[in-house]
Amino acid sequence: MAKKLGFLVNSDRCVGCHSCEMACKNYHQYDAEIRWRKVYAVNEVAHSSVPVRQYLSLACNHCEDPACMKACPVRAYEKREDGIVIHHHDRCIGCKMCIMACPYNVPEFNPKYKKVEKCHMCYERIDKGEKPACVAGCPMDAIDVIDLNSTSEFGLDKEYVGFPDSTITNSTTRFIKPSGLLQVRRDK
Amino acid sequence: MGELSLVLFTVISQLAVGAFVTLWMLEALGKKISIETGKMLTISILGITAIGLVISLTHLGHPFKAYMALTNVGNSWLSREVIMFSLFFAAILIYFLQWKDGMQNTRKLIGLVGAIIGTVGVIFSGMIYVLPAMPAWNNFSPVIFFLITALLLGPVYVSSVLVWRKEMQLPNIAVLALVAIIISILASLLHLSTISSGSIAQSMTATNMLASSVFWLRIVIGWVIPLAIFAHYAYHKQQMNASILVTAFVMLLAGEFMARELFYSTVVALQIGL
Repeated sequence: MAKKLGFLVNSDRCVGCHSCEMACKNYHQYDAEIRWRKVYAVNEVAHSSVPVRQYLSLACNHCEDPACMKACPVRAYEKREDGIVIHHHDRCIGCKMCIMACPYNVPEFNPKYKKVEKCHMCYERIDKGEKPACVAGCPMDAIDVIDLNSTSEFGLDKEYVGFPDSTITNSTTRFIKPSGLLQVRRDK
Repeated sequence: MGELSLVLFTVISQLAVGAFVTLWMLEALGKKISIETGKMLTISILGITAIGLVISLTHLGHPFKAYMALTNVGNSWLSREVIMFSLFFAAILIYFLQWKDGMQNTRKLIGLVGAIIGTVGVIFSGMIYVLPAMPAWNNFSPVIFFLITALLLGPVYVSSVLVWRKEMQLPNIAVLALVAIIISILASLLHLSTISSGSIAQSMTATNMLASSVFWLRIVIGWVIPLAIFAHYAYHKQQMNASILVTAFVMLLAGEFMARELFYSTVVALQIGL
């Protein structure tokens, strides 16, 4: 069976250090204003009345039914057999349709090249059996790449508070939510 | 300011389609239009469409690669729109060449084909914005609004030219325009009230709309004043002269530009954390 690769985001381990963002920028050497991976601070009382500091590290969700690919008029997007959604920079004409269509604000317009860019899960590293730069750069082991066709999804969530409905495009990102109440803030 | 090139392109391409359909329909209904005026109207519609197409290119990061936008017709509404408006341009050109004596039947046939292509093109333009990522647009409203723009502007434009050329009065133009404005008002109010009570992104869109001074300006310039003008002439069953028609047309056009600017600038997308 073909692989179905997706990011596993473990918010229980994430401390919001942004190392994943930096590792991605450092590896791909893209322009300063572009971020293929972003770390979001989540509302502290999203999961319980006791505030829990939590972060969400997100890049492209490599959706099963990518809205970007459907909207793109020039076929700049390709979904590989292993599920990774690639954006072909050479084909892009900078119409920004994918930016409008993506429910997760993933594609970004680079004003320098007048083209769109996004995470491609470091497919060249994956092909060599390595982990993507963000995964390798996380000191907390809070991000990973999993094959949804060979991994049990027990304990994993498709949804996360503040994350748009994953069923719109069948996002392959899976979440591990913080085990609540372990991190009680003393100022409350 | 939202996407200015998209604001200009969508409104004037819809004006062109509305005008073309009106021109074809007048002939199909047996109204006599002189060859000279027909040619003039057709060439003006061709010019408007050409300007629209050129403006649409300025929205792209790489306008000279615009031809590549024809390659994803199977999936992308933008590709389909590009094809339909290219065909519409070709149809107007062929239609223009039929403005000769004795070519009326061919003209009517080509006009019918062009009217269908243009209308489908406007529908495809609207479908581009029917996106789950944009909850306020993720319904029939973009298609309806775009068709209403064509209905509002096209007949009044053709009527203005015909009266200016001393050809004829478009039958019941005041009543037709009045109905179009009322449809526009009802559609906008229905959409606004629906999204106001919808999801967070939808209600934020409605709030942005109501908080914008452009929205209130649009109500006065694009709806109230033209409504009063057309209502006056419809009620008194008077013929409208060219200057009044042109004034009403300019106001409707300004109203549609403002409405389209609001369409793009007020929408709130789904986003992380919303």
